[in-house]
Amino acid sequence: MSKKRNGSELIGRFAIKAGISTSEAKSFIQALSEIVTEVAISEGKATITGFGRFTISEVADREGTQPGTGESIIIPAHKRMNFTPYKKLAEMVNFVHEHKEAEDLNTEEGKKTESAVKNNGNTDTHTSGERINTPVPPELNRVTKNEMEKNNNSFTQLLEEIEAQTKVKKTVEFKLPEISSTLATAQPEPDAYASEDTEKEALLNELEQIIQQKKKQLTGNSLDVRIEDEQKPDQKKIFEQERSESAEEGKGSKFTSSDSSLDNPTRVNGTKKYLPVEEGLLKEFMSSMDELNMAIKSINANKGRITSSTNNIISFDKKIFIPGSFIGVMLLLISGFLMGTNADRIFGQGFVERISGPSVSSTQTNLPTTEQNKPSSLQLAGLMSGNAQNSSTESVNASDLSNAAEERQTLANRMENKSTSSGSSTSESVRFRSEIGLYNMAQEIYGNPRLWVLLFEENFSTSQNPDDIAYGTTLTIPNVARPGSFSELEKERLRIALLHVAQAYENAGKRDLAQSYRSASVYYPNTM
Amino acid sequence: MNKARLVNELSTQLSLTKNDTEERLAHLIDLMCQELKQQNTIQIPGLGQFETRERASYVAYNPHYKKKMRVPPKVIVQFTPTKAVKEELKGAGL
Repeated sequence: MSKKRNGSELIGRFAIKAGISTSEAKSFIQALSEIVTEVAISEGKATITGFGRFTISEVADREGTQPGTGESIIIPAHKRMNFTPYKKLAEMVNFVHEHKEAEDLNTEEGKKTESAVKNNGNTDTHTSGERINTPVPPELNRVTKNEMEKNNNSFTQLLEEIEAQTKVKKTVEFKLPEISSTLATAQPEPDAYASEDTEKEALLNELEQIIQQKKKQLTGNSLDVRIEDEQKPDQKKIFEQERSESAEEGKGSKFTSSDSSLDNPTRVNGTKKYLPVEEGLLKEFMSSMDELNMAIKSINANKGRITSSTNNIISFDKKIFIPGSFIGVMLLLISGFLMGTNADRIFGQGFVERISGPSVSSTQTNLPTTEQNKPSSLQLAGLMSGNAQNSSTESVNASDLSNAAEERQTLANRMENKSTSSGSSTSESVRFRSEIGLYNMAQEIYGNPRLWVLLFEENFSTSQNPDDIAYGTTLTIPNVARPGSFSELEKERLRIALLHVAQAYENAGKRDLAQSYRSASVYYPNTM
Repeated sequence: MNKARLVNELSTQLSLTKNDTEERLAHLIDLMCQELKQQNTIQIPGLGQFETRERASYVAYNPHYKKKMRVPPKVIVQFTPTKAVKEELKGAGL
């Protein structure tokens, strides 16, 4: 990256710059050196205005070890010549870190970053280009089912719905023609037709019931699942009955009670159930769920195989390998979708975080085919449903899918071998760590901190302030050659990245910084 | 030593006009600054070597205010005098 200008080279450049002969330049530099040394030694200080100041300091006796023999010796007192660059020069040299300010570590936030600095202080362990392993929160690695149920009720619900959706599709097709004339014995949701929202909520519950019944069928308990087209009048009757029964409870509490009943396994223990489903609503619901379903499927399939062990512990198999960019795209997709819908309400806060946690942590990646996506999501859904009575179903699912899982495993291994042999052919991703910053992350990734502009250019638009990037942002790592052996194309890319950063700083209101990056774009890529 | 004195001494030693000396000195300083800015190492015969080095971020403690501060990383200029200069320093005594 940086070049060494030895004496003759410097003299040559100086001669060209000043328009004088090489010998003149040589004698000038020698005279300057002599004067500076002389003055510095005699007066203890010599200044070259516009460049820097040389000072002589005295060093006292100190103990040291003899290199090689390891003997302890006393280094005698001596004088040392120090150089302090002029402020302007110091700033110029430090243009990369110029904008960084000392951080107060006495605040709570500061203490955190302090420990982070200490943890990351051992830079020797990071070889250049090494992947950054983001620590996985323990709760993501191993989550017991009970915990799952407590914390992720909403999540469980969602996954069940997804499974339900796929199954209901079939049910609707095949069961609708043979609508039974029998009256609905199942309790309809009380607020089912109160408003559109509650209708949907009721639909979700019904779907959930269907899926549980389906599971029962799988395990041998023969349960008839029928979907009735329109049972409005009957339902209204029952609904009104119910209302009168529990009038004092009020709408809101009623709703929550129906919600909590979702998790009660005994609820679906009836022998026969006829579940009312409004077709139009169902279609609407399914079309919206389709999108989410697709996204979730791919994420589940890629996130790592989720396996169920006998003690109902969910663990992520980290051997699965996923290209980071793919994860990133999927994360974007799902987060975008979440924002667009009311899903936040269903998932509860922090869902996205939970999803993204393990996917980023899985350092090895694999891209399974779409056929293999399906079983994984179903398996996950089966697990998440988490009711004791369904455990046998899960095992059935698991055995059904074990073949697919094995296939995926072998594929993963193959992909792994491929990627290791072909080196940096696939783009990777890391999580942004604000405690060390893009600059030091580039140091870890490329072995050259100044290439952080490439990271920035790849991942952010110019409207992002480079000094204010959210913690945990997933970054795609652009592939470049080793610093020092840049191709013309990569140099051009670096130039563009520098200009990109300059523009970003311009937008962030940091004019002078933008200017320095703009000027850096002129010469810096050529040094690579 | 200020600039005027340096130019004066240089011009007498090189038998150049003060204007010429000043101009050349300006060029030299500019060249050295530009090289350092590009993170290049420069060697000046008879004086020493200037190189840029990255100083890592560290935690500083101010005992007066009992405050801990994280000092950001910095690129600094490091100067290593030539052997000749070191010998002269030794010869200068304590």
